[in-house]
Amino acid sequence: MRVMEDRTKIIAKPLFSGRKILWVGCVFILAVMCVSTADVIYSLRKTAAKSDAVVSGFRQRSRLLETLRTLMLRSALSPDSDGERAIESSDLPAAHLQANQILEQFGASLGASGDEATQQRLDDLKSSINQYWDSLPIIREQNASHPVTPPPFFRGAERRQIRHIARQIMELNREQQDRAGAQLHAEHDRLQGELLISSLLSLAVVFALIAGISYRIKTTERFAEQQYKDVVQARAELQTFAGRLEQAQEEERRNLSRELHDELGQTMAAALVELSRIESEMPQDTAAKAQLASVKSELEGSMRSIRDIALVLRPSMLDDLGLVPALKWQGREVARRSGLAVRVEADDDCESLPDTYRTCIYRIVQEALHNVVKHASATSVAVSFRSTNETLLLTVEDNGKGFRPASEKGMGLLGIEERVGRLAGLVRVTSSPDKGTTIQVTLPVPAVEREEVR
Amino acid sequence: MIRIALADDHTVLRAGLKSLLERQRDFEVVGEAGDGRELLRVVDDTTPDVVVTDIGMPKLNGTEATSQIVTKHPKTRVIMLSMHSDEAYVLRALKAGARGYLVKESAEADLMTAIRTVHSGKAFFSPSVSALLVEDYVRQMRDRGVEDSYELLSPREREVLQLIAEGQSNKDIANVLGLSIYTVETHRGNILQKLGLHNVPELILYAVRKGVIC
Repeated sequence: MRVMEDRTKIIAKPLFSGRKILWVGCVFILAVMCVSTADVIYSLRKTAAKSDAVVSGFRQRSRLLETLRTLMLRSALSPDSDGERAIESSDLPAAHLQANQILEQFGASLGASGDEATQQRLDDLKSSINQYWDSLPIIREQNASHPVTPPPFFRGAERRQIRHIARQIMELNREQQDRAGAQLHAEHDRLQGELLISSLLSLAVVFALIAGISYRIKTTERFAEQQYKDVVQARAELQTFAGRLEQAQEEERRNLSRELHDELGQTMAAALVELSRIESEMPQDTAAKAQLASVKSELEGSMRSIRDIALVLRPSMLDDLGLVPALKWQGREVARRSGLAVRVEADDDCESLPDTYRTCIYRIVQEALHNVVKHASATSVAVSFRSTNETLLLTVEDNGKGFRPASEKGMGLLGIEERVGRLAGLVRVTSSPDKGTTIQVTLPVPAVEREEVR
Repeated sequence: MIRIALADDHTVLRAGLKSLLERQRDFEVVGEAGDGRELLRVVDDTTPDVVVTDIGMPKLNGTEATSQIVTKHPKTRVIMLSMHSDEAYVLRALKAGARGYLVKESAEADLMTAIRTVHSGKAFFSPSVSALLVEDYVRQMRDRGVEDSYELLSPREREVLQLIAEGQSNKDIANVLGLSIYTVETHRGNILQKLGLHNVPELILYAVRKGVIC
């Protein structure tokens, strides 16, 4: 009953299959990596394009400003003294128009990125230039009327104006440069943030996966462990039951043997004695006397049969005289019945063993000798039983035809292994064709016994 | 007149044996017992010449009772009745001090002879028992291929062996063979050593096995 209850204690199988979790997790990580890689590539391309645009815009604007500066420098030169490089006075309106166009182009190149401050600066620049250009014909005229020594004031004012405009242009340009730099920087930061997030996400998934799989492994291990425990327990219980069954059988045999031997045997012996008495009172040479003699001999035969049966069931010497005499008797019996040369050697100090051990060893030897007689075609067999402080060593060695222990193990050997297993011992069978067979049984000395020895 | 005490817990068998014995003119059954303790009391009271006792008895078994009887009454001879014919039982009976061993299946036929033989100081075994002992011994000798240790004994030692096995004392043996007691003792020691035996019971068993006595 206990076995049945324990069977139901098996713990529930884990809910998720570990393989499924692993697959889903891997696919997810792959997906995250693909997405983030695609994103990075896309962002890098976008950034590169943007940076190209920024750089080319910057270059274009720089060129425009450079052109503007050149234009203004040339306009400031006098056609009389500087010749070719100066702008002719008749060309001044055209140059003014060109300067305004340049500023328009500059404004357009800023596009949407131009904020209000820049626009303001641009407007300032525009008005400065317009002012300069408007005043230019007057300056030229004055310079022409005093060709030799132009008044320093006008020259000074002219120079200041130009310098002011030049500074404005430079500042505008630097601002543009800074802005482009800041834009590229922002783009980089965004990319970095995206990478960080996708990495963190992947990492989180990996951790989740590891956690899930470890949990799954743990559950599986616990499950397996529980099942293993159950199997071990079941086996132990089975062995206990088998042992108890064996013990009960042995007890039954002992009782039956005693009953046959002591009760039935004694009664028959008494009957025999009674018959003898009757016989001696009878007159000589009668048919009845002859009949009586035949009944007596029948009775004697029956007594021998009963004795033999009782001995086969359980030899009384095992209980009356101990293990070693019983083993020796067994050897003599086998020799008598089979013609085999049986030698039994045993330590006499093996006698204080508990009944289970005596019975076990006796039955093993019985089984082993039975095997030898039945299968081995041997001419001699040696049984040896020795005890040390720790172990009992039983050896049954024959010179028969041998066999292959790995492939042809019979019921007899299995029975021996079972008996020995119940007493936590070991069986070693050494045999090969034509080399004879040796069965070696090692049993731990029972605890009580060991204490007695010390 | 041989005075006999009978012990067996089986009353019917005991009664049967008793009536058998009382048919002999020179036999007298002086006491009966149903267990070992009772047997000791009976022997103390009557000091019989021969005790015939079962091995398995309640309270005190036949073997134990025998060893107490022969210690206390050295002149009383004991015959054991047994269901077993195996030598282990025979040896145990001999060690306890019994000088006769009868199996119950043939007790009624051999009992008279056994009592007379034992009373005369010799050992007696049921023919089936001695046959078995001899048979086993011969087989063992043959199986082992060992030289028979009996061949090691000198003719004089063989004579001494038989007389010891028959239950003679050193003094009797010395008288029979015309030797000194010391010489007999030396022979006795040599015999035990050559045969690898330890005591007289083993020597008796050996003699039976060899067919020196029966």
